[in-house]
Amino acid sequence: MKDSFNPSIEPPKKTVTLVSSDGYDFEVEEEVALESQVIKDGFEDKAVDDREYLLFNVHSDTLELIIKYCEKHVSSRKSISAAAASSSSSNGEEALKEWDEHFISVDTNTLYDILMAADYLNIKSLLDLAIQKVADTIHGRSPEQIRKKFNIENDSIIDPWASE
Amino acid sequence: MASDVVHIEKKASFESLDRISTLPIEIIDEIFQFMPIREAVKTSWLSRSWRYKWMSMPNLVFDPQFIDLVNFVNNILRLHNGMISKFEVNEFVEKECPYVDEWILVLQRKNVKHLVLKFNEYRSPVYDVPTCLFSCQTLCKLKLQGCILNLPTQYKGFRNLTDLELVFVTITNQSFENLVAKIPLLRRLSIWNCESLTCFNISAPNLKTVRLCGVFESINWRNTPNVGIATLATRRPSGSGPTTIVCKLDDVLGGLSGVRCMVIRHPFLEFLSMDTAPKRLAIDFDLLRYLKLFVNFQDMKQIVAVLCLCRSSPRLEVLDITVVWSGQSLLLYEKTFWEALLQKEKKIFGRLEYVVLVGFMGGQRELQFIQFVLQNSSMLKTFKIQWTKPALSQDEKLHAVEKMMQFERSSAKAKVIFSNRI
Repeated sequence: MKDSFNPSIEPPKKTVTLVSSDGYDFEVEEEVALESQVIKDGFEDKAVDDREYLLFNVHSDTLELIIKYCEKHVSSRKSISAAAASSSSSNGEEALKEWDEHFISVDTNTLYDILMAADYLNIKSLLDLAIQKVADTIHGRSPEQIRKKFNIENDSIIDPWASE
Repeated sequence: MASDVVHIEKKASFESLDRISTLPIEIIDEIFQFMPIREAVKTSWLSRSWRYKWMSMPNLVFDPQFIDLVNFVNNILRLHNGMISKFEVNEFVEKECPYVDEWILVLQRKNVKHLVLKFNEYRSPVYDVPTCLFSCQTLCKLKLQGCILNLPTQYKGFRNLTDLELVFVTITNQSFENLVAKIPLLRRLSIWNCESLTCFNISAPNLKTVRLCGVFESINWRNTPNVGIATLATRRPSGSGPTTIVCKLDDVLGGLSGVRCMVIRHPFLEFLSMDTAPKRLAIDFDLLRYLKLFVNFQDMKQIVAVLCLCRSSPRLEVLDITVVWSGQSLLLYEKTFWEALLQKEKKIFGRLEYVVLVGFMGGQRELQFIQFVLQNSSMLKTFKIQWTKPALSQDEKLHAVEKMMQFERSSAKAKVIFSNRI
């Protein structure tokens, strides 16, 4: 990611550096980083050459996923608005929804990591996506199934299911 | 690499950890928002730490899915230990339900912001909303269905309310006027079949969206400069027969000078055109870009009213017309009316780009109207026509299309598109 080479003649895009909790650098385009409300809020006040963010709570594995998500959303938004401007029909939003669905279909641990990172970085759409996923996982399952899914230990003294 | 090994080890150790139970309560509350309330309450059986988590969820929405809901609501409210942002009960509450007063009392203490209260047999309301509702000063959105609203004498208004919706609510004209006048931030107002409410005197300087539907005698826009979207519809008074209500276009629409999008549903236009419309209104809708109308082409006065509205909307871009058939006696085709009408006009359809005609029956009057639009709209891009259902025979369709081919078009770019559905 760091050494990605852009062969187009456009001027090089402005980038910022995100540093994960385990010390990895990720260089991303400015607009991708600005998907995070936390980064966006203090962005203008930061000097241009000091646009490096230490994300103490986000592991590199998770950060990679988060960046993938933001990049996809930035590029999709562009293609959707381009399609709208030329008034050609596009199924961009539907395709993105499908992509989201696929993206969030991860094991519960990764889901937890994404959830916490999205909350920490304040990326509303991703947070909603992850929360919806957790809710869907709980919805319609018996307590025993939910416990198993999320490794919750049943330490209740009274188990309403035991009496049945 | 060494770091990879660390990752794998770390991952493996997480596999068996219960991490969801350690989520911050704000996130847990969010998760509860995405599932039915009963599912959320069920999580109290998961473990000790989960027993009380649901009790702070801020949004309580009760849908009529299972029996004994009233008791369920009572229990939830008794156990709930946080603030309640939204409280919604949907059409399961009997109109004599004795608990609703208590609910509102509890909600007032819990600073409710969004309240939806819908009774099941809403057509003949008997529930009198308690005075404590008017003390809920944190309310931002309020929706009531099937109850009686009496303003207390010391009614002080709702400081924070922005959305008000009344459906089958019994309220007097005077109370309604007073109620709305003391809601300074009101942005959206929706009135749906409130039978006792017949005169709308509306003074709401921040009102942006308004929807009025029901039987009414008059509408007065006292102070509504910011209304951008207006939907107006009326029913015939029950025990029908010819109505004596006469509404003048100027009176009813005069206060909506800032409107951008207007929908006038059948048979509202009928009432408006009882009195023959003037050539144009006293005011211009300078911002109006979208106009949707339900028109009975058998009624000449309605057509005059439509043209009057169009003349008074110099920036109109989209005209969406649905043909309605009232089944009333057919008037003879007045040749002179259309001859006078079909002249070229300069001050109409100047910006019109898109026209939709839904339910086209191929009748003479509809064709004349299409001819008039094509002749006078120099910016027109698309004229979309959807055939009526049940469909006309091929011969009838061909006849209408042939006629239309001959119409002069003042816009070189105008396409006429026929479709069976839109």
